[in-house]
Amino acid sequence: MANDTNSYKASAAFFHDSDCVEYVKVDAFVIYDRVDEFLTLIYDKTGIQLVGFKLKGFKNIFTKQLKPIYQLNEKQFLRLASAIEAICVTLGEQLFADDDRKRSYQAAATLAANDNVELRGFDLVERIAA
Amino acid sequence: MAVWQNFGIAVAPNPDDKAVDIQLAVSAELVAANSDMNKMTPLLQIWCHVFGVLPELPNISKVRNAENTPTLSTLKDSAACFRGIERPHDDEDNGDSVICYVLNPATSIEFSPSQVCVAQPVIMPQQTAITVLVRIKPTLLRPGLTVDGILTRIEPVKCSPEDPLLPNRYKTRYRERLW
Repeated sequence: MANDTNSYKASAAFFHDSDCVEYVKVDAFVIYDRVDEFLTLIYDKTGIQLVGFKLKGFKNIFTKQLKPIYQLNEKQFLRLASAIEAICVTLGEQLFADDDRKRSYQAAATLAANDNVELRGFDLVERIAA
Repeated sequence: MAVWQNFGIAVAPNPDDKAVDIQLAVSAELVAANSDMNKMTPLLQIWCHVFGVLPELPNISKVRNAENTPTLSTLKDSAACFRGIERPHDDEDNGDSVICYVLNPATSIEFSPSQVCVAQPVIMPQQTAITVLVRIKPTLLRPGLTVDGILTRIEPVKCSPEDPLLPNRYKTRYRERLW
């Protein structure tokens, strides 16, 4: 039943109902590990391999920090590595004081950059405003 | 969207009175977003752990008859219920309208790349629970929809070594434990 046409296409998605952006590399049982109120890391079923991340309260992050900077229109894309960096800037000293927390953000940012994870501008501008 | 992705109304215990049932709709956006990506696992898990049935997929008997068949449950089997997710959430500063039900199935389900059946059981890893987030909020409800809330997320989460049946740091990540 599974074929190339129907196979999972890993991509970032904004969920308005739960106000979060999620990226997961695999369509499989995964484990969500909360880092803090903004970031959750997502691991494979062994709990060892990082396979994704979730950015929470994204409407707030986008509206207050990203939208003024990026001036997105519906044809543009938002790199999620940039969104993670924006959260880090907001957290500032809190992040540097907590090594585990800092490493978690670094891991998420690296994954987002390596996988070139993006959100369509249309998804954000239209749906966050809705 | 495939036929098996048409969810009906789920029954759950009222967060404020466990003896009373409430009705929930599955977020249409959640289903559509996963469907658009051809992502099946979260939707399979909703069938097993919220509706208490296996999804109607070809050769699902392979999963039903497996040695470790998925644990079928509904939210009435929840081990715990929390209110408030202590973070900005849409137009709420602290996500106070969000309810979290916690389930502890022995076995869950995931997508399988098999040619026989696209689902397979997964034994729950140790110190892992299933959480289901629900928004009890009138503004999320579509006109004409007569339910009490919308199911917005289903997530296996890491639990703490001290309390392996509950989400890690549950005492601070949720505003209050209802039961």
